[in-house]
Amino acid sequence: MSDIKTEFYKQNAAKAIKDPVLQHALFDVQNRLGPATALAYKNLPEGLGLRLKAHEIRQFAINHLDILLETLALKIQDRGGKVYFAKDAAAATAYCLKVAQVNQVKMVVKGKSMVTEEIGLNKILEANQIEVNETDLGEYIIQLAGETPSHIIAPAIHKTRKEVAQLFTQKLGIPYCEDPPVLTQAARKALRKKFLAADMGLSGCNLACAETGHITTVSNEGNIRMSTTMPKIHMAFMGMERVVARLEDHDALFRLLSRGAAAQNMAGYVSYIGGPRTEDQLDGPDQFHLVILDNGRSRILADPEFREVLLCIRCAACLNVCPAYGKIGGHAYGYPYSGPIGAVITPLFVGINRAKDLCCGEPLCGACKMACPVDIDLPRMLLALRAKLADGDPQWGVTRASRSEKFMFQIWSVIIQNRTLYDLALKAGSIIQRIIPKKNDMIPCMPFVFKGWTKSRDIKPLARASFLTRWKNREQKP
Amino acid sequence: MTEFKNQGNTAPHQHEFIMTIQKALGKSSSSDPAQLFGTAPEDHENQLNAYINKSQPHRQALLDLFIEQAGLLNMIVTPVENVSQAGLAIQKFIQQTKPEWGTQKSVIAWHHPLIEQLNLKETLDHDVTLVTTRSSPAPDSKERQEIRTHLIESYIGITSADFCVAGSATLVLRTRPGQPRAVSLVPSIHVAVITIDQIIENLTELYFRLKWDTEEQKLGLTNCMTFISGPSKTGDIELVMVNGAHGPRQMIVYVITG
Amino acid sequence: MDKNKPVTLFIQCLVDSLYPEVGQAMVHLFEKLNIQVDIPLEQTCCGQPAFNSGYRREAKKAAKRFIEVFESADIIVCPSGSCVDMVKHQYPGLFKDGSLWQKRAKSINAKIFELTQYIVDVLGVEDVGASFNGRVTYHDSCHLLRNLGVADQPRKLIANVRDIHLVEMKDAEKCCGFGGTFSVKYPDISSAILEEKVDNIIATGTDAVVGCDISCLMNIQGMLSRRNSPIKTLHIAQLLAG
Repeated sequence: MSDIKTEFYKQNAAKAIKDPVLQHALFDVQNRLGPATALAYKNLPEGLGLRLKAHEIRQFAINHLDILLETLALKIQDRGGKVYFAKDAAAATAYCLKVAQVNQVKMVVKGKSMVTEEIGLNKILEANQIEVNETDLGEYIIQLAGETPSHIIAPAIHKTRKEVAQLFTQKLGIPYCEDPPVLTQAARKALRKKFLAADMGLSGCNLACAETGHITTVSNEGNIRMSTTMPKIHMAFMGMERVVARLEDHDALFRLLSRGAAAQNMAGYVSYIGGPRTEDQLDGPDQFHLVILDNGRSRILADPEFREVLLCIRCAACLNVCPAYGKIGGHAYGYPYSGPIGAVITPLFVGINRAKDLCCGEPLCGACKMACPVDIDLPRMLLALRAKLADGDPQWGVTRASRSEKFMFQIWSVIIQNRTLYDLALKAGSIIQRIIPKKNDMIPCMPFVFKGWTKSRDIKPLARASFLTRWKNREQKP
Repeated sequence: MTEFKNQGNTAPHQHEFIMTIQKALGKSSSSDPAQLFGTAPEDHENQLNAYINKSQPHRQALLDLFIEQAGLLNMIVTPVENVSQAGLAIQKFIQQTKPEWGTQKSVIAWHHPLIEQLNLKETLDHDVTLVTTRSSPAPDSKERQEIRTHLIESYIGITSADFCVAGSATLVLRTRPGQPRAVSLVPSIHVAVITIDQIIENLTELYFRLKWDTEEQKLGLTNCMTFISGPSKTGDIELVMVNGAHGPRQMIVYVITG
Repeated sequence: MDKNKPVTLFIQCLVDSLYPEVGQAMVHLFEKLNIQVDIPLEQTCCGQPAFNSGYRREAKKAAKRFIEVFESADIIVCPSGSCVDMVKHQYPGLFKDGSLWQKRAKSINAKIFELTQYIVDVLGVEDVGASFNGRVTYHDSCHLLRNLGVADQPRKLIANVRDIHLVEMKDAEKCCGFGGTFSVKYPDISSAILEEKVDNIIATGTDAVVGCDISCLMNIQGMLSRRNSPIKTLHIAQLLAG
């Protein structure tokens, strides 16, 4: 399992907000990718409606997941590939380690894969003296720096070119240079050796196709093609939900994935991989393994309220428009999945109570739903998670998050059902408020729960008489 | 070899896994997979004919679209009238370029009829090493190792493609005997030679033809079908776009229009 | 539809308790449009604060009360996109499928409107004869924009105000960071989002920021005031009543 730090959401968010370098990077990524993706959707020949079609395609696949996975597995096995169904992170990593050890693997190269982050694969391989090389440039940078990804598709956006330059000088021994092409070339050179020497290549899977029996991998750098072509063994990891039924389903999905992820018409490389090298082929891996991972997904599948989140194709478009992510960055979420998708899926993976701040810590603005290439209603699910925290939920093992808050809303519910009580409460409020100092008719500092609110902003005091009171009085006067 | 020999359909990990999914979906058994994948549309023959027999102006329009889209991706598209002109252009290109690693000018090319007609063996300067892959029913490890070595030494890889999707400037390459996938990947420059009739409109056409054309069905997707849209690139350092991350830094497509 | 049909006003709780002048402006606006208003004196809150915090049982109580107070009305108009969204889109889900309460909730769906939506889409009025001498910018509130699809209506109304100059801010459609109880429970994140919004407002060099939701405006006003900015916050009802 990956380390879980969801409990520190507030602290880590506060830290991120105070980091000017990170703020600049987040602003830049949102400012550039958010509007570009919106425009790319708009310019689709089918328009925004393609997202709804894609939603249906994904929904259909999820509803037939059992048979689609069986078909996929059968076709891959027919080509001589091995398919392993892993019920959890431990089973998946154990399988990988076993294959590596049986084949005397000393070094692996790895394409970017969120699922392998989720199961904490690198740590386990490294603990068994297997060298792991992340090969996506962003992942490579954070691996050298000993950090974790802060964005699903741009894992190192929190690092400036200066930081990368220092890192490369220190770790790769190159002369200090801040020029991205020079830095990229340095990584290219260093990793080329690794690609050619590695015994095993690891990758994720973007979207499998059941009908033809292929997984697909998507990248712009070519690192995944390298990892899946040059070493003798290729092992791919896929979340069990990442399959669609028909080949033509990929039409809408790849166009939307490319637009959602990077506002591209089409990602640089898409590979359909369906098995190991055949006898008559000159290259390709001798072994192909596919690990299909559950790790909590079947539990989500079983709940109609959250099943929709399994439609996600991990493009990160929601991160690029989320106002909360735009300020706190990916690390605050305390788990590999960040942003709005992380706020929904992480609690479902690690425990809703444990990740309660992820469920409650965004303003529910709805921008994520509009940006989602498959039109997932993330705000709806955030609200559903909050409802579980408010009153507890035995099915998900959730206990009530705050008794005092519950009590407050209970009182509130009594007051709002009776206008007389409501008026009394307003009256009481305005009396208490008299002792609070004002400045230019605004309150600069509120007590109790509102203290945080007024740290950065004033608040208008309650009116002397409410609108309805004024209206009533007006009616009474002739 | 590993000890994981054909676990097949009944492996316990798979059985249990699928049962869990069925339970989550509230199903008792799985449905027939065939009906999930759709049947050929009634007019698919007509549609295929329309796709395959495009008019000359339509082909020209698709070429123009391809050139326009490729331009956005730093991919150079050069239309040439015939294959010998393509050969001359490639010869000239090799003359004018230098390898990224080392000094030896090595070129690797697919075993492919179109590439053979380029006549590169005869026209290339004597300082250029050209290796053309061969197709054999079962290349042994020695032969494969040789190809691998050449591949790593080569700075230019020459391939053809199955299709070229104009709308997104995407080359579609399937793996065949004598056509290793790494030729379009490991060398610093990828040169592709295609004919104008291989240019298609969009992914809709691609998937339709792959799925319903009986000729395409015979080959299938193969165990490795790759879409390539431009040279390798990355934006991982401050979102600055840089070509040449791990794959080719440069990509040139010659389209034979005659 | 009869364009002079009387309307029933649903006065959002924040308007009622903190910004009564917005309610008054709304009444005045309808007077100008020659439309009679009815304001049920028993109304309180639609239940959104409880709902957004997860307290559905409590929100349901508010919903029932709202339905009881308003279901006899023919047309309900409210000066808040998020309250209308709550009633329209969340009420039905609070009740059991097929239940009588759900039916009652759904019966309100078709007859509740946000203010600008009602004026432009239903009444077909884009010029209410208001005037304002100055430059303004418009902030899109999230639920109004994304859940009700209202973006052009307020802009049309603003554009037709005499002597006004509308300057679009950068990222007008981006959240102001309010989010109800979110802004109280996560003030640091809320403030950080608001900082950007306020920067964008100030950068327009306008005299006022106009919006259709007083909750956003309260949030924005709070920071403008803290920064001693002369920029005023104006609910669109106030602008149109002028």
